[in-house]
Amino acid sequence: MRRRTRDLLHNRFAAFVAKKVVFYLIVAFVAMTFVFFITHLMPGNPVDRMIASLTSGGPGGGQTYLKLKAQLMDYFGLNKPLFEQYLIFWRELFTLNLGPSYPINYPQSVLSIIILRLPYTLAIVIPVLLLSFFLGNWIGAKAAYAGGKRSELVYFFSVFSNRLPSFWFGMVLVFVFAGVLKIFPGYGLASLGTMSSWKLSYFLDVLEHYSLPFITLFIIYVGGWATGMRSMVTHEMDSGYVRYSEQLGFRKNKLMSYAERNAILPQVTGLNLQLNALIGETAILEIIFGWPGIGKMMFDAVGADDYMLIFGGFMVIMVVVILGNFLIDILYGFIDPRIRTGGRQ
Amino acid sequence: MKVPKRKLVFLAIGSLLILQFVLLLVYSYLYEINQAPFQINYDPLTAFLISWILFCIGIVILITMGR
Repeated sequence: MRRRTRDLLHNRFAAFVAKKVVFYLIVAFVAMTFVFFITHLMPGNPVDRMIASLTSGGPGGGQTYLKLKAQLMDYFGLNKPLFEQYLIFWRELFTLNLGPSYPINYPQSVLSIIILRLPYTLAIVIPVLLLSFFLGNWIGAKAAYAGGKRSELVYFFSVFSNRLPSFWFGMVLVFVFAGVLKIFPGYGLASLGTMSSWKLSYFLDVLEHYSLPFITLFIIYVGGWATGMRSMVTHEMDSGYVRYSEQLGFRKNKLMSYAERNAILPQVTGLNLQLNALIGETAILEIIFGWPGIGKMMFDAVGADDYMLIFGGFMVIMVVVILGNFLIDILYGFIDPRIRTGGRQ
Repeated sequence: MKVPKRKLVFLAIGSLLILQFVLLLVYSYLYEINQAPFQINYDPLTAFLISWILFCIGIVILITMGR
């Protein structure tokens, strides 16, 4: 047992994982602190919004209004000092009790809203990230092997698609495919009047609505991966070990596989960065396409000063980003044996 | 030719993840024609989206590790 513990302490991969865990915990703490203070220092007050929505008008004035406001401020704990609210916020966060969403969804709990919305966002983020990674790298590697005009053409289109702003490209696709060609619907989750059911026609309808946000991000990200992979494979094909293997008479397929394995490593490192960017872009596209994920939920929450829903949304995005980054770091260790076996005799 | 055990495990996981999505589509077709053998008490859309995510992960596992 003692020997195993000692081995674990001397294992560079275990140390690498432990370092990452500590780093991500610090990131989570700092990010949540920022979110808390930024939202609380925002102009406006959720209680005013709540009273306005209850009375179907402005916040109004008078003794009744002030009394109601004081009661609600007391009920939601908003009249306490900011630092005390901050400590309460951490206590509630650790017990996963994010409280009710107010003023827009009262009395629904924040957690129940997030659990409902999270699959919508993940259904875009995970497939786009994974499929674009494989297709983009495949296209990039093939372009590098092909060389000449074909390679240049792939490079041109890859750079072009990768540099497209997603919000603009999304609107262009809506205009072309939903407005002019009328192939895909441009907004929402399903056609108006359809009820959620287990019917195949309903799922196909959802897939139709899902297509445009998916295609938008997929095209952008395929371009990014293809550009990187083309450059990396071109670089690897010029390196000494490939040339030497070529002289030894290795088959072309074998050379390609060697070059590809080494070229994929920086691409896997890039997965972290792309995941972070993708989550942000998905949030924006959800607003454009009316896809009811976390991004759209937070957009509505910011507009309504819904503190707890903003916290919840940020918390979930942060957890997804941190977990994703952590998994990619671990994956990197598996792909690159130098990290996995480092320190082992 | 002997196939490594690790590869077989990934092959099985990838195939199962793809199969669950196919089964969900088959079930939804049967549900549409009122021939569903049983009822599922879960939000259909959430189930469909989660199944779609797993399907994509299954494809990636098959391409990379099950090859």
